[in-house]
Amino acid sequence: MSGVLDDAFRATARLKIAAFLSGCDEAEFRAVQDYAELSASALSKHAAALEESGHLAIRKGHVGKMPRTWLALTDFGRKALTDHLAALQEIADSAARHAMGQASQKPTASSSAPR
Amino acid sequence: MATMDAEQARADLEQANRSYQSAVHPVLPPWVPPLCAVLVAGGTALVGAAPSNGLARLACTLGGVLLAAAAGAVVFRVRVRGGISGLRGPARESGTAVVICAIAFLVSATTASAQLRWVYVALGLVTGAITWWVLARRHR
Repeated sequence: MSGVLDDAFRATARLKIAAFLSGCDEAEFRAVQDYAELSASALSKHAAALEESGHLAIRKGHVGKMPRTWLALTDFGRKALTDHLAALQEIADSAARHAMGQASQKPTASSSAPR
Repeated sequence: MATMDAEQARADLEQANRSYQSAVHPVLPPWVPPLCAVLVAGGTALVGAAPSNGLARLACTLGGVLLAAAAGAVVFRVRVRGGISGLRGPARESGTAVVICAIAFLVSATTASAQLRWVYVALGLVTGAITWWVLARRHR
């Protein structure tokens, strides 16, 4: 499976937010804020950026009389995150294969000893 | 997009996995693991130890199913109250597998003979202990 890196998830905070939301249908703003350890304004900024790029949906409502905001990954956002993680995995796997290849090509002590 | 080095890629992958796990398995209050353990143990034992009598057997079976389902409902409710709703990704598949195993167990327990009754009581203790251990790991 080939992946594509997505600039939207370049920042660690946005990757954390998106990966957290990938585990649920939606989460309350405060739950995401608590997890990501961000201030409300910082999370709002990241959420707004992800919403603008189509990765995130923001829903406002009420629970009783208390206003609430819910965040959810869009279908596009879920696909983009899946592709981004696949691309990351490819990079990591490629580096591991390269390191193994280099290790197997190193001359052994007996072969390099002068005759 | 600019390329990324392997170390950064690995770090991001680990972070993404931790974030996903945090949503799927949020930290639980300390009373949840023992309560769910008792519900699962009681439900398992009740289903397996049901008497042979038709109506009593039905009542015990239904009671056992309700107890086990209540354990799942407790964890689900704690998660919802924490602001997270729904389950997505690999955890949803493993949750489905647990339900399928529970159904298989239910079928085998309801058709088991009276001699195996105490086996299911013991099985209840084991599943209760496992439930406690699995949920307690999230509490830490």
